[in-house]
Amino acid sequence: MKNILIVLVFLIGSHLVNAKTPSNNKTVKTTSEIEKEANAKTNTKKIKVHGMACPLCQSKAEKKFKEVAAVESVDVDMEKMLITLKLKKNMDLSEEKIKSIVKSLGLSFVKVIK
Amino acid sequence: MKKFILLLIIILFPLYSFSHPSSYEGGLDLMGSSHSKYQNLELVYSPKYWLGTGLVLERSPKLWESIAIQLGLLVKRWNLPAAQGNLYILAGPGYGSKFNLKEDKDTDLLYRVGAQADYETRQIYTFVKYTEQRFFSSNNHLYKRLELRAGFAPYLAKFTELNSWLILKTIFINDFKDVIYVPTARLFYKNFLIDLGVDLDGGAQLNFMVRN
Repeated sequence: MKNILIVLVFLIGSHLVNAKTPSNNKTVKTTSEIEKEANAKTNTKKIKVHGMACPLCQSKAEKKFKEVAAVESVDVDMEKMLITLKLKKNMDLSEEKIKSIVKSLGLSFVKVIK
Repeated sequence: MKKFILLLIIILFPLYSFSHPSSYEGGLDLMGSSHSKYQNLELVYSPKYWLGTGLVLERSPKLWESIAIQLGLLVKRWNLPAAQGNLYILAGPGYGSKFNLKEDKDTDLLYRVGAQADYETRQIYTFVKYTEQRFFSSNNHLYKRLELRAGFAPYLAKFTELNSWLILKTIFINDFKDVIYVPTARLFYKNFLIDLGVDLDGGAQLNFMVRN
């Protein structure tokens, strides 16, 4: 009986220690870990389009996407016909909205590369 | 003084070769052309990428001058992986004056119709535009204009870099016997553009554009 009680106490004790471990880690989280987590939450979307034939198209695309509240920054690669959107933390932009903006620019939407 | 006025007119009438009768949703474009025989200025607002609405001022010195409403409709667009082709039609009513031999004005309503097609890649540019304008007075004077353009960019550049184009413009106007050829060098950086051209008669052109 004594042995059973010792084993039980040991098991319960070890369980409590294990349960506490994650919360202890949270309190000692480094700045780089916090930054990593924040970056993971920041979305980027790459949009493949057709029809961008001059640098003015690049300018129009940047201007239109920057007007969207969820968009933090826009990068247009005319070589690859890619519009890369960096979205704000915890914000998203639906494919339908992206299609609608691309259409308003007079370009053809091909796909979103995630 | 005459040269100063001529230079002022040229500066006030910018030349914009990438002109489209409609641009992108909410886009505002100022475009025009200047030549001793022909001057044009267009202000176009595009509520949709396929529709442009605007005003067109045109004049042919000592012959006629007009102001017209322009509706530009994109009939077909070909969006290719690294190129774009467009077909537009243009139409609108206007008001203008035709000068007679005594340099008196006959002023009346007019209509203006036309079509435009273009194809461009990042290094090649081709363009054809036909417009005609008929005055209801002045013996139904019909003004017809056909413009062809072909150009290329010697190197590829981003929007934030200096872009250069060499463009040859060929213009046929029914009021004149001679065809007008204007070899043009274009430089543009971001939304600012400057054109330097000389026609075969030695007439210089200096043009600029600022785009919204």
